[in-house]
Amino acid sequence: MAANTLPGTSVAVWWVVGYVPITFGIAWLLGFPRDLCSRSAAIPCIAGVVAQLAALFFYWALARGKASVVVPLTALYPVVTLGLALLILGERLSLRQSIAVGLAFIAIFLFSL
Amino acid sequence: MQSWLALSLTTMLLWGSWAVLSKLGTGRISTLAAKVWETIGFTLATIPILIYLGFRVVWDEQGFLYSVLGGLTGGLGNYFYYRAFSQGGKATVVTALVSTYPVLTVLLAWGMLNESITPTQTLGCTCAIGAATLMAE
Repeated sequence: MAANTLPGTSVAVWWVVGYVPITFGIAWLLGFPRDLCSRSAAIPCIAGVVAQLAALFFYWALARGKASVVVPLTALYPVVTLGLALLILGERLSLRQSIAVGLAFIAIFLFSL
Repeated sequence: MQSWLALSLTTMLLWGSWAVLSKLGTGRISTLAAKVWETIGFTLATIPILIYLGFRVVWDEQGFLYSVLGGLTGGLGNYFYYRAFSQGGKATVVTALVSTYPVLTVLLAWGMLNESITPTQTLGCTCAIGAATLMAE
């Protein structure tokens, strides 16, 4: 809805205005975590950079292609997660989880039609 | 390759990587600490966008409102996504399950907007509910 009236780059910027207060609001309510200063902080920080870059590429794709194609195509990103999780995290799924993930992928595909 | 396709595939790759990085992060520090750092990274990545725009962000009252609401709901949803990881959820399972959220959109549109549900959507909802049930057991 926001992208109907604003260019994607501007949506990405204004999004932050809502995103930052909610994070710090939760931290204020629950108390700031004691392990905030940690070497491992780089990983979620990079995740944040990647998320914003993804949003930017998404809006650029929307500006150049049809929303009816771009939105369903990018919604299939869990396929990438599946591949990376198997390779990098060494995740192994039980039979029940494999069936559940398979059903979820079918659902994602059907919703994208 | 057409530019929109290259951009879409890059988006897929980045979102897919983001989910794995989120899982990696929550495995080493608390949910909230990971969420705070993710927000910091998210905000830092906005600086190059602002520079690209020459600090001239387009203003539209309705667009601004929807964007901020998107940020608020997205940020809150993202916090619970991180909590799911912290509590042992596998990146593959959690991400696949979360991505079936259109079932909620379909049901809300049916219940509140009186929109009809297509057979494809019905099948999609059935699969999503089946997936959620299997994961919950």
